[in-house]
Amino acid sequence: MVMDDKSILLVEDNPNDELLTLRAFKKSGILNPITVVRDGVEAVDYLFGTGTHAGRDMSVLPAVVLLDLHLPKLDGVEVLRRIRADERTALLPVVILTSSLEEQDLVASYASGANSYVRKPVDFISFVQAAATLGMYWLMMNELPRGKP
Amino acid sequence: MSPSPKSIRTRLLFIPALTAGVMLAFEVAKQYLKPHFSPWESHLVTIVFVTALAGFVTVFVVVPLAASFRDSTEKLREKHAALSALVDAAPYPAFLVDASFRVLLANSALAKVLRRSVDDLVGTNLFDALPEREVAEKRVELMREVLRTKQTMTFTDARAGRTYVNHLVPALGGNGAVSQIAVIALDLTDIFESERRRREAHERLQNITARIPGFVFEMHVTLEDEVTFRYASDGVTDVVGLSASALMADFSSLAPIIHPDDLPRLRVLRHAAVRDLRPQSYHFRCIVDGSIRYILIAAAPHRLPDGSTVFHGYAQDGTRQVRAEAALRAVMQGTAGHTGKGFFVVLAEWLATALDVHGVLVAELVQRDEPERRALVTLARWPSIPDAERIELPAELAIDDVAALATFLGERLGVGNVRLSPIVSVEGAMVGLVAVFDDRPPRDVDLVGSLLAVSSVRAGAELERRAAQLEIEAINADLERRVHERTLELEAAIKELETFSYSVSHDLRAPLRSIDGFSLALLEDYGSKLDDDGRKYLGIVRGESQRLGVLIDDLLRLSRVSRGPLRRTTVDLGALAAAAIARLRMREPHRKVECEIAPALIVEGDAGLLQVLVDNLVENAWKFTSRVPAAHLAIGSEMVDGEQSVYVRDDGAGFDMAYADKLFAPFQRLHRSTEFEGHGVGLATVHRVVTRHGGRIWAEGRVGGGATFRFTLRERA
Repeated sequence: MVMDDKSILLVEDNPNDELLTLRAFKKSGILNPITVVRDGVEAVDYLFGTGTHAGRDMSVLPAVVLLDLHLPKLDGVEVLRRIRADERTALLPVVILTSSLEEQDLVASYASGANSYVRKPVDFISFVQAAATLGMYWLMMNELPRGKP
Repeated sequence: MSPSPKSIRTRLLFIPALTAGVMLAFEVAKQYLKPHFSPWESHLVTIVFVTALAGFVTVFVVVPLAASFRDSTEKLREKHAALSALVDAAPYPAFLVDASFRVLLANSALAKVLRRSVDDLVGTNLFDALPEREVAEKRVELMREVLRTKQTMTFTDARAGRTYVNHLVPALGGNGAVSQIAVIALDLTDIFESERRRREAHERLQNITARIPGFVFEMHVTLEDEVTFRYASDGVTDVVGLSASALMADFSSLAPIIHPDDLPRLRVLRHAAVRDLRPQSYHFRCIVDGSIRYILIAAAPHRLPDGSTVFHGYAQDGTRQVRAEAALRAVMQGTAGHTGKGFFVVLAEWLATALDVHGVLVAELVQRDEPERRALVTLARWPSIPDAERIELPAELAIDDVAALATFLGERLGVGNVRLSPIVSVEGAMVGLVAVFDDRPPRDVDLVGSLLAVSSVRAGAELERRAAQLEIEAINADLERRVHERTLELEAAIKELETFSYSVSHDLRAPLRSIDGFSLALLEDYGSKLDDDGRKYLGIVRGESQRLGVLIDDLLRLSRVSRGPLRRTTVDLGALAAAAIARLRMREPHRKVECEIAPALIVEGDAGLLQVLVDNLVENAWKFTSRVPAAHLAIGSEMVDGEQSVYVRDDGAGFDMAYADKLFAPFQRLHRSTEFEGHGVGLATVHRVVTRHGGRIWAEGRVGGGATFRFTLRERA
């Protein structure tokens, strides 16, 4: 597993949120490469080199996955379950990003193995702060356990 | 009055005595006087002597004789008067006639009957004295008979509604012929009447006692406890097999047939009755012809003047009754505790056992619309059959004709002697029947009849109960179905609401975030190209979109407190309030607010919901004291109207009590948003939390004088 470039996988179907998220990272000084996929199926394909992402270099995994819960085709919790079910991605940090404050989503996310849960605030400054905190934590401070890919 | 025979005899002795005296006088004179006197003188002495003696005799003999004669005439008259008085004193007509039927003597009773006076009657001919010729002739005829036969005659005649018994008694004269006839007419009307009544009463008693199934008796108990039957009607023979006369002659003849176990009890009962003089009702067992009979007794004791006791009572053979009661009790006890189908099965079984019959059928009459489609559907059959059978009834069969129905059933089921009792509903319609079958000749007809009647009534009640239960079950099933439907509807509605809340939470916030985010991006990236107004407007866009975000969050919270189960645990409201205030102080460190929180403000409630409640109330108080330079908040609990309530008090802007009812309605605000922020959802949420706990919340306040919110978390006891 190659971790050096520490890329970020953003799973987000809302282009406005995508734009704002990318801007927030940039404003926070996080310049790591960010890959954006727009639905659950594409996220799974990207991570496991299947479907539209068949043939992708599987040795490159993102350092963190920012996963929206409400996704077309396959929802976020299901994507998370598949990530945790595969031993190659079982330890991949996944942060749930969502507008929802519903307890059921929170419970389902943690039960499925989410590392963190961030609610997207309406106030963009708060969002930038949250994103910056997230990025710092997962990209710089948190040492991923070393193991087999 | 005549002299007594003794005095006559005494007087008669005087005559020889006198004669002897005179002769003695002459002899004395001749022997002793003559020698002393001259013959002249001696004659003179003799004369004087005899004269004296004659005088003496006269005095002693003639005078008493004369008196005696006079006395006897007088006495005869007295005797007649006495006889007249005696005859007159008789309360019934009496008279005396001579041989020519002349009335010699008559009494006033006769005179009264003949409406004549006694004096009138005496001396007249009887023939003339009697007013009715025919009667008189008959009477004279009978008297002639008496004259001829010299025998006493008796005859009866009636006069004026009275019955007389006439005695004609002949009196024989010196010549041996009948000289007089005495007639006495006895008025025996009352005696005859009472005799007739007595005979009637006796016959009535005989009739009654002969027709009742038992016997009546009179039993006497002396002070020494010697018992005799003074009377027992003939029915006693049927009851105990002893004749009434035998029983009356010897009470102890009853003892050998009484069941030995009952003898001591009977003695105790008798002694108790003699002591207490209370009516008794009991039974004892007799052994007659080798089988046991139950004799039922009802008797009332009565004390006689001599201290002994007499019982009047009635006894009957109650064997059948006792057996029927036992059978009935067996059936009732056997079926008690069974309901529904099981009841009918048990009833059939017990009936068969109690009555010792070959078969029992309990069936329900099923009557579809038209009478030709009537059928009996078996509820239970003994000996049992695997499936309920259905017996179609022919249209021409009149079901209220019990005999016809019995005959039909006998033929249809191929059984012998059938006896049945219809089961009748409360409305009086036949709804079924209870029938017993037996191939043997009918026995115990009464017992079977009464037990069938009771069983059918009981079966009827069970049918009614079953129908009522079916109805209740149908109602319950319908109710459950409707509850289920409503529950499904409600669940769908809740699901819809959750989906809606979820969409609001997720989908409404996303565009808001874009509005806010891109406004900020515009300000940051192109702010230099805008003038102050442009930047100010963008600021307003951001402020409003953030306010809308808060509103959405609060609405979601309100909907969330309405849902989900309420889990009661022990919650410290003081700790929650302290945490809320700490958060507020961090957010607005410049505020000077003094807080007083009661220690150990422990309540029972849902921790999550109470957190929302306290946060809202504390934030509310914080907000409305924002214009007070040094504000005071107090959170505690106190008794109000006998109820423990929690209060949150502030000395902020307060409110007008006129609008107190609007405080807790969603989106209702009492202040302009330029004065205090807010959208009126917080207190609605608070209200919802309190009502979900079964409590109440209310507020007191005045404009500029602060506000106090009080709430309880339990229903008022």
